[in-house]
Amino acid sequence: MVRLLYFSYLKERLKKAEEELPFTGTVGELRKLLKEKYPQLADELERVRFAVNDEYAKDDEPIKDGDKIALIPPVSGG
Amino acid sequence: MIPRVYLGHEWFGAERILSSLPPEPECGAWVLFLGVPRNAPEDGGVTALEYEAYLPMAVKEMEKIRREAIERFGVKEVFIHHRLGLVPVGEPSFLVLALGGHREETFKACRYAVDETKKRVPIWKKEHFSDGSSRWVRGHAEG
Repeated sequence: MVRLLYFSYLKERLKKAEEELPFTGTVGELRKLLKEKYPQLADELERVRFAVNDEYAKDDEPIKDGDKIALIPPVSGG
Repeated sequence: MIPRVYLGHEWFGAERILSSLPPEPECGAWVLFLGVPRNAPEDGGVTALEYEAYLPMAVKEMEKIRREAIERFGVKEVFIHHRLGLVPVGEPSFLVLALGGHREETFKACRYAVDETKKRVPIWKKEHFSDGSSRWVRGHAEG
């Protein structure tokens, strides 16, 4: 299982801050899977950056069982 | 001691940070940036900004940015503070203070820490308006 964390408008649109999914593969594959699971958020999910265990990760990086995956919408601090 | 990197609901403020510092005889330049929620006519009646963060990762990124600013520009110290929760228009929500030998590298270090925080740190803001409505600010996508 991997733990997914949602923030900002993703959290509001999904009406949840986190969920667990059985998944192994790459960041890009997880992005694709989530776009299929939440087609209404496909555009948002395309723009999201992924962080694996609190480090930004590119689409070709692997995800393993037990990882904590944060979906980071474009940031707007400051 | 006031932390060099801080993200949370408290606000230490520039005056408290400045007065807490020991004399820095080697620092000829102190550069302070404050980010303040604003409401200009084109902002459409903003009364406050509400900040949310992914705390553990955000603090880690802020610490990385602080180290990068110090190492790249050779300055002595950099503070990065950001507030969370509701911040009314006119009250600071973001502070960067850089201390260095001379103004050139110290301006650059301050600018770097401001820009990188806005680009990389997982913080999001929601605008609250005078009619009671609110909306998330769409940030800039970064590769």
